[in-house]
Amino acid sequence: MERKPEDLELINQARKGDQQAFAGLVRRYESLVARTVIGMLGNVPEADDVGQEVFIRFYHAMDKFRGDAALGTYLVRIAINLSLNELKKRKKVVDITGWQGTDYQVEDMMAGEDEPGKADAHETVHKALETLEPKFRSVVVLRMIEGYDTKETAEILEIPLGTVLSRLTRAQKQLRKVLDNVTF
Amino acid sequence: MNTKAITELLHESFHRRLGEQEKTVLEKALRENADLRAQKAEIEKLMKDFGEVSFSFRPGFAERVMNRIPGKTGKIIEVDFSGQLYTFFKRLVLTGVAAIILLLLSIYLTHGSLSKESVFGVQPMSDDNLVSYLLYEEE
Repeated sequence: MERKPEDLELINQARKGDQQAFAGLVRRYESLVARTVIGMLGNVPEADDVGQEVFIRFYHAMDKFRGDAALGTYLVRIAINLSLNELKKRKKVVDITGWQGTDYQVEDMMAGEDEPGKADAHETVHKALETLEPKFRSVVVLRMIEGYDTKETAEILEIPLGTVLSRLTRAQKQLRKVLDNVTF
Repeated sequence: MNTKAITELLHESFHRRLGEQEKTVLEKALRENADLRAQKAEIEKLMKDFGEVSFSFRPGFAERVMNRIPGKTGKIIEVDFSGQLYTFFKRLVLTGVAAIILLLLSIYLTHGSLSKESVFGVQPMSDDNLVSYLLYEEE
């Protein structure tokens, strides 16, 4: 992802207390963070909270941001980490209460498709993503939704390139299996 | 190269640049294998569908973020109640300990010992005294 010179300018203004400059950054990167967070968590109310938290964390760490990495990449890294934490929290709730939350299982998804031809592409991608384990979901979100290349994906997730490739292959196989019966 | 390895190569071809030899092997396999071509089409569709998807937060997201950010003074006043409680109890405990020490000291100075009787202010009582005390009837 490219570095935008205006980002540093806005960050400098925000560091000096210019709230509008920070609001400008939020608006600029809102959709990027939304794709990551909603891709990871699904379209649930917590996704909005996690999205807000991404920018709040950045606000508090702004003085440490040196601009070595693109701001987008920096925010996506925070978004992925917070989303993985949220998924861990959800898993704990499931372990304790047995409540499955909003994560769909492949069977649930197929059962809900009375008219596969009319399946909403957006929702279908959503549900297909939620059948993936978080570690597979994160590579799919970064590579296939955000459009990072495999090297950038590996850097963001701090895992080897080979691991990214193998997770992508496995994830794609599962997604194909899930989406096989669903027509966009 | 076996079918499994070719399938892996096909998947990877979407995510990394293949070497010349790998490219030749994959192209040959694709020409010869209709199933592999179908798989390639499926993956292409998958990549396209996922690439086109757009997720967004509810309207007013930036405003919600800004509402959570401290104002221009830049300071959030945090009330650390537990810290205040700790200080209060520490003072209370120190005062209590000081009072107990003073009390014991005064008892020692008055009675010359720190026996149970002197601390509780009870005079030693023999069994006979106790019996007569209990049997005493006021006229």
